[in-house]
Amino acid sequence: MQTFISAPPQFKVSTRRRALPFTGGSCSALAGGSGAEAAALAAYATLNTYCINATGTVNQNPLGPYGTNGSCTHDCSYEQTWWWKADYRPTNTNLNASISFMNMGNSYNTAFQPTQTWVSTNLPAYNNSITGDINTILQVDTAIINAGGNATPAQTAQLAAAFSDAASVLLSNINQANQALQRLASFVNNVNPYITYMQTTATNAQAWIKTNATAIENNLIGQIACGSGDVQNSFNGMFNDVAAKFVNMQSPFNLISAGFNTALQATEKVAGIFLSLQSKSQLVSQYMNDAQALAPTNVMRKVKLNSALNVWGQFVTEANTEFAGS
Amino acid sequence: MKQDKKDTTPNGASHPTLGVPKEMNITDICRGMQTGWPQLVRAMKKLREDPVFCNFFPLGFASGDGLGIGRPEQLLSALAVDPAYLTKPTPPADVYARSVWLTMRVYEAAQTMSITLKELPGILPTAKDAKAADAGAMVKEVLDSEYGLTGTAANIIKLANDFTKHLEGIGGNLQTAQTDYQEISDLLEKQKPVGESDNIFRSIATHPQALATSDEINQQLDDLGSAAAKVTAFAVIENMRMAVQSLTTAWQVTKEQFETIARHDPASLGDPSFLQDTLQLDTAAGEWAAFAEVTNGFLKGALVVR
Repeated sequence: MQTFISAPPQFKVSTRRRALPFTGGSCSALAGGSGAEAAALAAYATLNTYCINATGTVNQNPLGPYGTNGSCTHDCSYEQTWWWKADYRPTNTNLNASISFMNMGNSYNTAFQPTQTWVSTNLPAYNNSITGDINTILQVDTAIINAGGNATPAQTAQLAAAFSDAASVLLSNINQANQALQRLASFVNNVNPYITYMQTTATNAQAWIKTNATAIENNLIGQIACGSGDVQNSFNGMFNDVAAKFVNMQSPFNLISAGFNTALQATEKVAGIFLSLQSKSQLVSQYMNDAQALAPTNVMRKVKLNSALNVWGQFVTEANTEFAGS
Repeated sequence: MKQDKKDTTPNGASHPTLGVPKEMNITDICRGMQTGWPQLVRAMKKLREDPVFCNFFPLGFASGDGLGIGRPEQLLSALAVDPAYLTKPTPPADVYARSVWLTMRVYEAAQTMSITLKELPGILPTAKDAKAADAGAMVKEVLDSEYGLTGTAANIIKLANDFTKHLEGIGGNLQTAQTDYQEISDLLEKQKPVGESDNIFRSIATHPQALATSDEINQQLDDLGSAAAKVTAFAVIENMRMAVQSLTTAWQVTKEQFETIARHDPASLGDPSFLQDTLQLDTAAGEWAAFAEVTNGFLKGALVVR
């Protein structure tokens, strides 16, 4: 028995042992279950809820208006008044725009649209053609066998046409499925960098407010002859308020990241279904090619044609089950 | 789980069945597929910073952006450019995509085993009307021919062997790497202050000045990090190689099992009760279907990045 090799502890490589084969387990804990599209829609609905809640929190924590005024006397007889104002509520608007961007449900639906169109509109027609062609071949083969094994010219032509049509439809079908996969893979690729977008946006916004307000503060202090302590205190009050409000937003923003991550994982599972379908399509094509290479009287030809029907049926069922919206 | 695929006939002779051989053990076969990909990617990042390692493996998995290894993100990117990336006759270059590619072929083979066995009874009645021996010849054709199930097994054996060779080409000497790691680790351990924690990194970080110059310590720590990364990378590759080897062995056993069955006399092979009772046809088809479903589960999760 081979020994499992472990890496050093700080780079430990671990595997999860399965007690027995064929217990319904799989190689991956992330294997997709039935209804991958339904799971994805649920994940984007949850993300939508997180985004709505986060928008509420952003609106409840306006970053302005801030400002105050004061006066002081210097050089015995000069009274100086000062004031400052700052309003960072446009940052609230920007944060809400970022939340809207992260609410990717509509973008996902657009990316899924080619899959939807293929499964709902085109697959039923492909199914009719392919099952019709295979059944035609089986029927003609039976007639040839019953007649002693020699095909008539009409039967030969009928078989050639059925094989040709099946190959053509299989190709159209997988090409359309592949285009649908391509859209989903592109979607995940494009949005993958935005997992921590809310955190980055919030950190940058808070830093920008600090820089912007500090410049105003320093400018003001540079122009007044007295009262700089009061000015500093008033600005610190704003900085504390801004910091507290960003703390309030942190949890809803973290939920958006988590929801976004879950939704993308669900999308990746939807994309993974296509690998299973590609394999099935490959099998059907291979069985059809094998069958065409064999004589109608060869027992393997019937096995191959029936196998093609079987796997094609699995293909249609899996596509309809996994890509159903609910 | 099947403990033994052999069944004993009334006269005491034993026969292999049409089922999944015990060598087709999911734990062994999946080991390389579910091995620590994030750890491997981190190890590769570390190794790419090591010029000695990169010089030693200029065309191997230490080069470039780890393209020789790959990961789910890269596979998704490849599918965004070419969605038929995994359906080509030749396998993809990187290890991750190639493991998925091979799993697709294994899934297809397992499906073929299952479905073909399910189809087998369907060809018997017609044949039985003629002669049992004729039916047996048909069964033999299904089991052991170019288009039959031994051909299916032979194809997987070839693909898995090719992958093993590829893995052997990019991997390194794990034992040497483990020895190197241990030597550096021992060297650092000797310099550890008495009574200090066993954690080498922590003890050195706490007392660097008490041990040696900081440059020397930093160099040793760096060497230790590289050595550890090397062991991780080699161990992951080795685990995957062993998994593919297990897969190869399992399909070789399958092929031999079916060849042995095909050598039964045609009259027996054409007898439905022999197929069901002795060769366990119904059970076998279900076993292959279950194995196919397990591999399909891996495929469905193969693009999950997180």
